[in-house]
Amino acid sequence: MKPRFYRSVRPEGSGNVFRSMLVYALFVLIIFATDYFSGSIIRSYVRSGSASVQSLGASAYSVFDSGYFASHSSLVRENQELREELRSRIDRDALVSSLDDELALLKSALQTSENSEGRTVPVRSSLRSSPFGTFLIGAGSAEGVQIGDRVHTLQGLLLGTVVSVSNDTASVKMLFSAESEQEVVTNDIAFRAFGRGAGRARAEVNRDARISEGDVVYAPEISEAPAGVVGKVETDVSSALKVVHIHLPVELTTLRYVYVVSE
Amino acid sequence: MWFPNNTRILLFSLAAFGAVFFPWWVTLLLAITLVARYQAWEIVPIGMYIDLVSLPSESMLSVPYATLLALLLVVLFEPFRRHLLIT
Repeated sequence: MKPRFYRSVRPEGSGNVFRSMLVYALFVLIIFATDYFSGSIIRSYVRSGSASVQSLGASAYSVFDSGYFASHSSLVRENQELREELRSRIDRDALVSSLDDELALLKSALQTSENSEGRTVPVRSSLRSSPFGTFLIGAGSAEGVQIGDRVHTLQGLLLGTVVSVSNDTASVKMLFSAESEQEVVTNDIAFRAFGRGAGRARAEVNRDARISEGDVVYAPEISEAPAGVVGKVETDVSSALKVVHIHLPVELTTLRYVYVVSE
Repeated sequence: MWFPNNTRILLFSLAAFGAVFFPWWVTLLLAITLVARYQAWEIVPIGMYIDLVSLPSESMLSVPYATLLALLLVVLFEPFRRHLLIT
């Protein structure tokens, strides 16, 4: 009788999973310990590499967004605009419009620079990809960025503070990152806001507090710049408190430059 | 000799790409998909990357949550995968 062969029902290496975990845990421990005792040299290299990749991605997206690979609907819309403006050389105009965007941003930065001391730096990581409410900027200790520096949008809204610095990048923790708490003020009423990530926060204030939609919120402990806007106020007749929702009136995912103000 | 199949390579590539460009929860979903089907230790370096880039504190006491989660995902999904998801 011919022997019958059955496929094994044990996945590969299943019996060694805990041994493998110990090996990987040891590997992780060695990497983080080396990073710590070497003055964050591994972190610095990883962040520089990540910043370069992000920069490359942003450039690719810029070309993508400026018209070469735009979706059908945006192409139709853009073509109409281009017909009105130039009527020719569509490809070249896509690049020009991309550069125009850049110029508008830098002009905006220049206006901010005239009013305060600081520097405009590029954002080097997605503001959505970090689970810790942090993002990288393309300037570090070599450019004079220090821990505790305040980071603003080019429109002057407070985004967060620098929490760690390497040679050519710095990590910024957003003001309203998830699980964060921040003392804020609006209409001379101080209260504690609880971050919910992506520049949003929630707070509970006295029902009689004069807070309404559109009020500007400040974080005076950090900066005199506006830190957000009251987006929604929920009042329940059975409660002595009302819930205030705060958000940043900017699209965080499209931020390409920020303004860093030193202490 | 062990050869990773195309799905595994694709999922890992997406997770690695997502760690850089996508919202963090997309990477988490891809990592869960990987460990639900494979003994995917390759998600540990992805977790380490997220911690090294995003973790706000450089103190030795700061917990590398993403790395620990990656290790736990592989270990916790092992019995689940062994009993339910064998092909």
